[in-house]
Amino acid sequence: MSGKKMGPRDLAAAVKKLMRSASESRLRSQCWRQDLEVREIQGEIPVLGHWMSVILISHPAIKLIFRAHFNGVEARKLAAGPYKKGANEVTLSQAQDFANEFCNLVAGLIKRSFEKQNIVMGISLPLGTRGFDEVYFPGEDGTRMFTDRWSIGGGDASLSCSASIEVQEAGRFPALDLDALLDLDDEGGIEFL
Amino acid sequence: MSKILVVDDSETLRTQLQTDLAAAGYQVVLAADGFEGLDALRAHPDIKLIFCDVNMPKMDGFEMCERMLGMEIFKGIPILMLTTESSPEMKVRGKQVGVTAWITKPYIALRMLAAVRKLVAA
Repeated sequence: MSGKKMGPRDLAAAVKKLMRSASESRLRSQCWRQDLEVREIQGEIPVLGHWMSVILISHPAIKLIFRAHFNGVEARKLAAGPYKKGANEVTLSQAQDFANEFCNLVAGLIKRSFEKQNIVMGISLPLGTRGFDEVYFPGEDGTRMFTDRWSIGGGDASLSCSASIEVQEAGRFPALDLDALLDLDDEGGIEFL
Repeated sequence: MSKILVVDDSETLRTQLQTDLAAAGYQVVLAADGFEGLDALRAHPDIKLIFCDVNMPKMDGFEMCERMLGMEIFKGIPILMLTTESSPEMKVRGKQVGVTAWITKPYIALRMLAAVRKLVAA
């Protein structure tokens, strides 16, 4: 992408791909399930789940919000792996925590993808809230604010994801390699300081 | 049986790490934030190693480590930062507050246990 002027749409399109890939990768590793995959959401659904976890990833030139939407039954099925319990033994609180940690892992991977190109972003703590609160996030305007929705699932369990991407200044990243942004990191590196 | 402290606000992460460490023969003490972590250290003076997250409510991992630096009884306990943060600046700050090693989440159990064996044996 070097030499080509990048506009907000180009950047937002690349970030959407990154967020989808990162979320699929992290949910697979968190649940130990390689059968989970990204799927499109059909139809207009105003609220994607009974519960929602939210995390912010921010730079002065671009602000991202990643959300995981879920209902208790399906989240318990996904959380059963990491908790090493049957789905019906996982509590709602544990399922909510699982979704929060999922958001944390996704945000960490997105942050690292940008950091590899010397773009430093901050991430918030994940926040759990009601699914209805999704309606407060602004929609796409096609110039600076972009949105995306997808689900990740396999077998009998899935959760939905959504993203808000606010591009303040696409020109701030003249050397950003959008293809390299999608080159996801290895997990679990250990460095002795 | 060496005792290890795990400090992380995520119950999911605490449970996973406890399961993996216990399966490898370690005794595990859990804490949900830096305040609880310091309380756990006072209650269990035989803790040999600490896993600590960075971003936690109430007291984050850096502050917990800074407070440990100021207390003679906690000096010398190896600290593994287990976090989604990975920037060079964070690692420099970690080193300044006494962090021994940095593990980027999600961890890989075999690599994590190899690091634990090395640090507990030292």
